[in-house]
Amino acid sequence: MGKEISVKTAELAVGHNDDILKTGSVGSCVVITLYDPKAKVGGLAHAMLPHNKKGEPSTSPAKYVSEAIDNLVAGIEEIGGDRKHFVAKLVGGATMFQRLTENKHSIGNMNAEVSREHLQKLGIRLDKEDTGGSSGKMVEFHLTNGVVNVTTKL
Amino acid sequence: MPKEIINNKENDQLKEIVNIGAGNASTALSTMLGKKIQMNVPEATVGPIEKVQQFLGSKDDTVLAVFLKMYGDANGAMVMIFSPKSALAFAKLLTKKDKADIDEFDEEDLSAMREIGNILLGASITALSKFLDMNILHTIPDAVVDMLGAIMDSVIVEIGQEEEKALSFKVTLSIEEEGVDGDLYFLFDSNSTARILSAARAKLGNNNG
Repeated sequence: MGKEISVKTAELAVGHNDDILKTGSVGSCVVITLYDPKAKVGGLAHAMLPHNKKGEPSTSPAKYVSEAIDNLVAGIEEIGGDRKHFVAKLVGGATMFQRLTENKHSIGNMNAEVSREHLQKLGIRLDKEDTGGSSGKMVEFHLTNGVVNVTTKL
Repeated sequence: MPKEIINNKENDQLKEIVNIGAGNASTALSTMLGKKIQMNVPEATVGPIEKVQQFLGSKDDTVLAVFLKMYGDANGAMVMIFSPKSALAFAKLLTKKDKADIDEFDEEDLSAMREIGNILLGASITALSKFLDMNILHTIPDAVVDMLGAIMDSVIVEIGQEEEKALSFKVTLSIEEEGVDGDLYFLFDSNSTARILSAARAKLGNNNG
């Protein structure tokens, strides 16, 4: 039997085979999943912010997008994954208070943008994404096949 | 602050200040509705923003949130969270219309909730500004219906963008006879917390600790 791991804000988890990694509802945070279909291993990071503006050491492994992705890549390679095979998916990065923030300047939007840039820098293919909009989403990442289920409540 | 956790005395002073703010919100609500409002003792937490987010709530229940940002002499945010039942009751007081579920909320209902937020949160901020002799300004409020966790993670990043740590207070306002309530959250970044404490010390003096 696989494990079901709930990943909190600013944290990440890795797993394999029939494990399921999931999050509670995500707003402007961004969820990055990486999957190695050959080794059937992968991981999920629940990142909060685009940049570490102050440059102080992070209090959590997935607080900032770039650090979250780096830590996630390292974590999956530790359990037998190979970044050459990684396929990425992105969920979240919503702008929930649309009356207060312009979409393109919102933190949600920047979270998704920085994720794309950093994946590209690492040469990891971004397969699919469900980002932006104004709704919260819940994520379930199945490590048997790399499928990401996204739930919204409209 | 900002490096170390605030001590007990400072925590009491901050609770006193939140009481002043929330007390004014409660009076404003009471006047608006012509009903008696109960207010509990504030709960507080301070720490890295991702921990504060967990204090705020991470459930997947659908709620209605009214949110605004503070700026000027103190940076932070205020949020009111209503359960579906309470949101329906509050909106009805203004719109006089029955809705079966908050999923049916239209622009008129959301506008009514923003107005309630404006009155409540505005009254709190005005009281705080006056008491502390600080110039705290605020944005217009926004109202959204979504999952609590998603709303709170969006609230906290608004503060976390500039600051590693935050202080949060929660106060529950309830109308017991109607069985409805709302949770009022005050959030300040760590630099603003330090400024508020120093203004509070000047006001409360040594008598209060």
